[in-house]
Amino acid sequence: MSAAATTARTGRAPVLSPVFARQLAVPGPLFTLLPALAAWCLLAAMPAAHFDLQICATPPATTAAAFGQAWAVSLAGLRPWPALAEWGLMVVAMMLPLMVAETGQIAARVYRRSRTGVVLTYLAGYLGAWLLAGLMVVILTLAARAGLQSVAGTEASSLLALGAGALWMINPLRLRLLARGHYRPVIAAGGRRALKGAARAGAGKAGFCLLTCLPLMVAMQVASGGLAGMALLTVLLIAERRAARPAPRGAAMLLIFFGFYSVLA
Amino acid sequence: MTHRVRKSVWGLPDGDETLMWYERAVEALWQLPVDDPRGWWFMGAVHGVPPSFPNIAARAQFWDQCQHQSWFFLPWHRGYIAAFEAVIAQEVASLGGPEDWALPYWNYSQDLADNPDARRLPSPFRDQLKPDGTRNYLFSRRRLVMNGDFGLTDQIVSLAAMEFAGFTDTKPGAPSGFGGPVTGFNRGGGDSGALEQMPHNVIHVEIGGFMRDPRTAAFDPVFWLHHCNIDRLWETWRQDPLHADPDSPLWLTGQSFDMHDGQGQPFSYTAQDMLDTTQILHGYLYDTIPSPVSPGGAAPDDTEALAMSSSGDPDLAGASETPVRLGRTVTRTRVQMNPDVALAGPEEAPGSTRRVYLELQGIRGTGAAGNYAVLIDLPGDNMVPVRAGVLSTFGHARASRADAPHGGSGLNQVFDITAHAFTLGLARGDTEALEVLIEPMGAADQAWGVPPGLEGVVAETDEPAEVTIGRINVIFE
Repeated sequence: MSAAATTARTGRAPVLSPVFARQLAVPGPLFTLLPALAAWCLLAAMPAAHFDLQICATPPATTAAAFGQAWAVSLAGLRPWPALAEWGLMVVAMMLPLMVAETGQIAARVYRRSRTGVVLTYLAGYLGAWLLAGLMVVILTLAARAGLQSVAGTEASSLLALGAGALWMINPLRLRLLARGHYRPVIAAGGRRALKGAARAGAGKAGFCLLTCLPLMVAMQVASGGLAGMALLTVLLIAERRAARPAPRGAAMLLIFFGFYSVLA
Repeated sequence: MTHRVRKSVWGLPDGDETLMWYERAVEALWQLPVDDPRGWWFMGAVHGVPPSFPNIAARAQFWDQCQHQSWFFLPWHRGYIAAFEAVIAQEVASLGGPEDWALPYWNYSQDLADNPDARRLPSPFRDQLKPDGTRNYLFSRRRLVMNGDFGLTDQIVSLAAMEFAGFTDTKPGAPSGFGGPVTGFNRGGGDSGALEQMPHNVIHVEIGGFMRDPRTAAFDPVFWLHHCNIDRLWETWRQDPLHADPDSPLWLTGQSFDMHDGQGQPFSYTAQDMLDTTQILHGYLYDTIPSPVSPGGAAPDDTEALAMSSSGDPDLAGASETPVRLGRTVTRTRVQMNPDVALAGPEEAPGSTRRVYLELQGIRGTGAAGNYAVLIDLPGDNMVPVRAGVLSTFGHARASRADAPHGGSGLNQVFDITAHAFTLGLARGDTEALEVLIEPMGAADQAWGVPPGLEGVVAETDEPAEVTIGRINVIFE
């Protein structure tokens, strides 16, 4: 039942405009924007990142020793399950808003009775692949941060990480992957074949997203960008997908500016 | 200030020199190097870059820019045609021709009672040599036909698109309006707008040869007369007070395009810059249209506009189960209908504002394929199948490439089959299946050879022509 219909029957003033309520009630936005909003709220309410560790040890004599020390400190401070839970929230918050159009397209091409199941299965395949990558992300983040801090110090490492992210942002290989990730799968109209196709399509979509977005997310984590950094990255990724003719240089510059800002702030 | 006036090519009086000067200008521009923005090679590559074409430093900014399956299709091509016209006019003037030279248009949709030759290729484009025995630069690689007769049927030159009230429509599975779907910069892939689909795409494929592929189309001199006509049809559509271009800033100013003017100087434009034809570069008018519609003119009455198009939520009512690969003869496919979905009760008569669409989703493949007639039938009803529309494969190979804007998802095409659906009883929800027949159209795929000087440079793809449809859907709205 649509929000507009409920409002008409109860006679109360609409909380949402009828048009917006109708747009929100279809499976695409319903299963993407609302969970993403909830995830952003939870992330904002959380006290600290569980793998966002600052390493403040006295610099050892050699780089190898510094890396070893930083790595040891990171591992000692790591709480795996909360870290993975936080990763899950990050994925829901940052990636689901990118899936609004895709889920809308998929929902429109399956029978009405199958829409909810197919869209949820698609998102399960998509998020499943991202969550599986979580452990790798945590390890990569810690290793990259330990490595960068051992050679460049804490502040410079943020800039280096975001600089690397900016380079990946404009990399032609990434832009090709981005185009391929826009593929719109044709799945069955209903039944078990539709669910199977949706799961496969969701995981396949996640593959391209992992390749294009994950290095940027790791870079932001290494730079300890926090919630502001995540929000910036989400906006850049949404804009990039909406443009269909990505102009990544501007986005790359913004990442570098953010690096300077976080160092100076 | 006087503006150039674009006239019907078949309406030009005997002895008119418009096409003679066009041919001479093309010959002159042909001699310019590939990196000269005023050259024939450069301007053709702005639309699409053929396989094996040489590369230049400015390629990313200026070449392979054509907008298809997009709400930018009409404004982008308007800017492109105006830039080409400016270059040709400049060349005509420098050769001693008229200062007010304007590109003519080919109105193949003209009533045959008024002009029996309307659907024939104008004669100056047909022969490889001119009457004096020298090379004719208006000749190009096209389908091999007699007397310029491509066999264009009423259906192929149909102007049904002009009846669309809305410029765009974003509902998946529904036709995307007169002008095309909301997109960003889109070289192709997805749904075509009504005018782009018919007659634009279908004519491209029927002419054949270079015109059949977006990467080579603009190297045929008749391309420009065809697009001039499409541009005229947009301008005609805009004259109807019930019709209006999008007022979204995303369309008006959200995307800019790069081009070169008559002097070879770069300029940028947005859709908003394309709304008054008298203000585009040198400015132009059409002989059959009284005056351009000024931007921000009277908006149509929303109520009336909405009444002409359904605004319901599309509902999938049937789908084929496996991908459909088109053969050389008729391909038959069964679309299984979902008995849970009914469009209308028995009491609801034809003429309901609800619509029924046949959607061909994910049209992919390789090579340069032809047009196909799409017919629908109820299995076992002993009735003759009825025609749903024409499937055009213009751009299907490019839209199938993995580096295409939609990752190689191909084209979509939607036919409004509402009238047939009520006749066939499809709308009541008690039909188990619909049979879709897809039949190749037109003559055999033979075409003239590549004109001298273009061999190996502007060459069509040598991939075999293959077309596969991911799924065929019946959609109730």
